Amino acid sequence: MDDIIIALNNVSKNFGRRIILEHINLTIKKGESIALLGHNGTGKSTLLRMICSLTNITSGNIKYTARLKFNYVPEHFPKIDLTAREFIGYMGLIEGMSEKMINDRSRELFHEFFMDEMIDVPIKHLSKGTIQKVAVIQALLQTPDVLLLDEPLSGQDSQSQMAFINLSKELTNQGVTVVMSCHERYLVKQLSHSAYEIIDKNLMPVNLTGLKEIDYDIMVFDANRDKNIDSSIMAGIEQLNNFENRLELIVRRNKSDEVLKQMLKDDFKLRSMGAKEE
Amino acid sequence: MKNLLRYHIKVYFKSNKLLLPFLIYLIYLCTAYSIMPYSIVSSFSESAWVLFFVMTYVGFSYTELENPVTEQLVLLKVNNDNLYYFSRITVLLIVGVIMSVMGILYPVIFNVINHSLLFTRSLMLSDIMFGFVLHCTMGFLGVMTGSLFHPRIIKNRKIAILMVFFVAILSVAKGSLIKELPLIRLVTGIFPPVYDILVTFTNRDFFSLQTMVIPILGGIIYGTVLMLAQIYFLKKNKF
Repeated sequence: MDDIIIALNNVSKNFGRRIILEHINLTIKKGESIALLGHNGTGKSTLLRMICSLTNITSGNIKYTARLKFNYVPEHFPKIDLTAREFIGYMGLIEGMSEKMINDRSRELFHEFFMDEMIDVPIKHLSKGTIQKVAVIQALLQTPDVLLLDEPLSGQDSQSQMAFINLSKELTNQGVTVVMSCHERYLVKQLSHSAYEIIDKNLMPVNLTGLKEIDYDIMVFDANRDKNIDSSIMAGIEQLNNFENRLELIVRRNKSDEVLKQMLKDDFKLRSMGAKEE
Repeated sequence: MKNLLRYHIKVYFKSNKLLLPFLIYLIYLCTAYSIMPYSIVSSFSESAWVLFFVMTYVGFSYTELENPVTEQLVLLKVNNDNLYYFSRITVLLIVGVIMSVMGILYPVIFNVINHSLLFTRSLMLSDIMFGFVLHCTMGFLGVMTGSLFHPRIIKNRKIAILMVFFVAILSVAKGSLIKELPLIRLVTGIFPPVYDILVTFTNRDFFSLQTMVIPILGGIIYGTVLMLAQIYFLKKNKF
């Protein structure tokens, strides 16, 4: 855990005249799992891309102790013409895997992410959550040195989220370094050793012990496009997943009663409810 | 590299982006060779500059096809930026060679069908070889010109379309402009040497190695400079 593999020293990033990140200092150790928190547009994705050199830095420097292999899960995977099987197959070949290895590993991952029936459908015809699964699978095909995750769970159902959490934990145990940007604090609690929040273009450490005390419940309602969730309960909702015919809420346990009462009062039909598993 | 090429080709062919330029060039060939007899050198020269325009479009549209997210994923998997960019250019070069084969094969077959009456003289093997090299050079210049206006190099796509159109036209029309305004020669030198290559064949009945070698070499050097510039700018202007 003490082996620093990446060090960001006084790094800043501007897009034109707009300053995105300023004087960022961060050391990343082998096998460490770091979470980056912050509102949309604060520069979390930019920071992830800077770490793997996909984005040039404006000033400062980034030092790597060795030539590292990065894999990356982007926040928005595009709607492309290739099928999931074709795309994953090519990614494996480009990574230097044998066809047999690709077939074995991808079959395993497609199964874990409940995608067996959809592998021959062009990605452009898949739902948002399923497309995001393709993004995750391509990054888990081969074990990298550093796994960069940009909102990896957005739009995914609870079962796939659990599969992802288990796989991520497995990778961290194998010594893979994970840097993840996310909104879901319950995910930080389960996966990360340390967390930072981007506030005013700077990176601020987050006290994980505070986060670790929070427990969550899952509530599933029938989707109703004509109704909006009352703004008074939004603060208690950690994550909101909109699926085709249901609405899944991940709620802070201390706010569960309040959220449930308001949702029922607003005529949302409850379908299931339970504690979010660790 | 082989797998990278297979991936790019698969993505390209699934997109149907190649269909339009392929059909346009085919229609041109059908139309151009419908009148006979035709001078071999001038018909091959004309077909070559049409191929330059078609391949400029191919190069430009190919950069538009590229999705920045999948590009980032593949770049990380390859872990070698030069190899990645070179593989994309290689795909364009392969398309250029296929179109060049088409540009030469069509009149050759049509000539055979018409009992060798398509041209003003009999077609020789040297004509086919020099014609093919000329087409390949023009194809190379076209793809390098079009693909230089990559969305990461010229972010404003409206300006990029206007610029690529302007550059492609001036590459061929600069001869006439120089005749009218000799001073413009100082500026037109920066445009692809399409006119400079074609002018060496004016009023000639035969291709010859002596007349071709310098202009073709110039074209290849120019295209290579564009290719290196493109890779340099893409590495400089990341995501």
